[in-house]
Amino acid sequence: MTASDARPQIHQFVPVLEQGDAIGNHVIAVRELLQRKGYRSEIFAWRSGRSMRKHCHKYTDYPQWSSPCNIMVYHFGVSSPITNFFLKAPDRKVIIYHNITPEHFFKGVNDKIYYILKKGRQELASISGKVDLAIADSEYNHRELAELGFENITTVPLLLDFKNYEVAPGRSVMDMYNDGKVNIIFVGRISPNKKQEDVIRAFSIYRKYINEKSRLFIIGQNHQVPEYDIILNRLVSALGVEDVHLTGGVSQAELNAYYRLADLFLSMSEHEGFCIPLVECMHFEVPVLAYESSAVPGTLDGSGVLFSKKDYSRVAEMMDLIVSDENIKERIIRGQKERLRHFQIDRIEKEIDNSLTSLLS
Amino acid sequence: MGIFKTDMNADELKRLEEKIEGRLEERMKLHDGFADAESKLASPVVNYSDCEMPDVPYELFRAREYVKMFPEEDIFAPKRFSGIRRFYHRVVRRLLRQQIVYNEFILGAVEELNKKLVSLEEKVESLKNTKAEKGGENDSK
Repeated sequence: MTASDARPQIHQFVPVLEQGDAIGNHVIAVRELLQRKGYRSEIFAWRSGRSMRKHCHKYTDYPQWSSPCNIMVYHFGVSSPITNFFLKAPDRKVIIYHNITPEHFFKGVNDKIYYILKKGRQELASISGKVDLAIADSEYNHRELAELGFENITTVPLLLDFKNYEVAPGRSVMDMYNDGKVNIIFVGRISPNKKQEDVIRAFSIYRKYINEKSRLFIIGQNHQVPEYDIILNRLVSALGVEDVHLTGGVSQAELNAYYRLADLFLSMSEHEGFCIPLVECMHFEVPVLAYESSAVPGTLDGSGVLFSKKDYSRVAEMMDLIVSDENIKERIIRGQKERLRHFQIDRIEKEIDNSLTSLLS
Repeated sequence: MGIFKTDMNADELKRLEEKIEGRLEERMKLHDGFADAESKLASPVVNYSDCEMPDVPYELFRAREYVKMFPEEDIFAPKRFSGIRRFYHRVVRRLLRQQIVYNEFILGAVEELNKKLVSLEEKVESLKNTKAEKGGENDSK
């Protein structure tokens, strides 16, 4: 089926489609939604993981489908050759902005990523004024698009597949760590903008001076910025802090196990476009203590506990208070449960459907 | 003013902050100077971003990285390059450098020409307009 079909088609473009990636999951969920609504909808990618190839076409195959009646939805989060291709196509254009990490975080860590991110920001600016609709997945991203001069912007959160969280928690993780120790977690790929180094520094004080019976899990893929992973390992050695576990990438079952074991989620991240783990904490009833930055306050919207200054000693005291005071913990979890309603699939599906189909009317 | 924010009224939050301050004071009595000691341990590892990044495009950065793939021989390395490798690296580095310099030169020249072309187009356009205006004036006379 190609451009000759009379019914308008809505196709998505994503630079990289990888398994276990939040944006990849979102793209597939949106395609399922559009297909359910009766639209012809395919995914086109620049690069894809082996297991994801069945879900997508190469973006260079698109010209045979292209038509001014169609809608191209471009998921933007990194520089890629799709940008030029997207701008030249005759189709109506929608961008879904997932944010670009500011390049300065990569100074002294990875020069290549530094320059790629810088280029990504230039590419994003080149799209401004050339799309029919811009969708931001957080208010923070909305503001960035507005500052760049984008018009007709709407905010729709990421579609999360809550079915993944029903996968039985990994037995080996549960058996190994369900021993009464306080488990502090942070979830997110190993990257200098997420500042796992500061999580380790706060935990070091907590473990050495407040609660010896505790451990820290830093959970997330470590292959994208291996240099930063090395820095984190060096920091653990320099501080001489025990019971810090850098797990690397984990399966869904293992991730669910870590959430079930967690007493507290501690985030020191200085740049998030949305921060899915915060929503996961809401689902798994894990209290959140997070540094107030970028999209974090918007995603939490008053729930959890935020701090405006990285004062490790005070943060460590607050960690202890949340973990040991049931009243405070219950109260935080109650607030987070309330916030979770905002991310329910039905509501978000409706918003995406309304936004995209409004272009076809 | 405290550093924490949560879904509590101002009085409750104040009490919470006071509790934390009290606990921290007790902690400092027990372990004098622990926060400074921790910072001292961490600082050699975490000050990685104190460096300057040259303002070059990614393409040029990548080209320079290719040059680095063919390094000059480290004369203090325990294992020296073979003569043929030393020669090969020297030739490749020179070729790549020439290519980079040439590309930068061409890009600069093209950009300059483009600017001249734009100004020439503007001049032609303004001449056309002047001519059209004069033609209009003559017609009205």
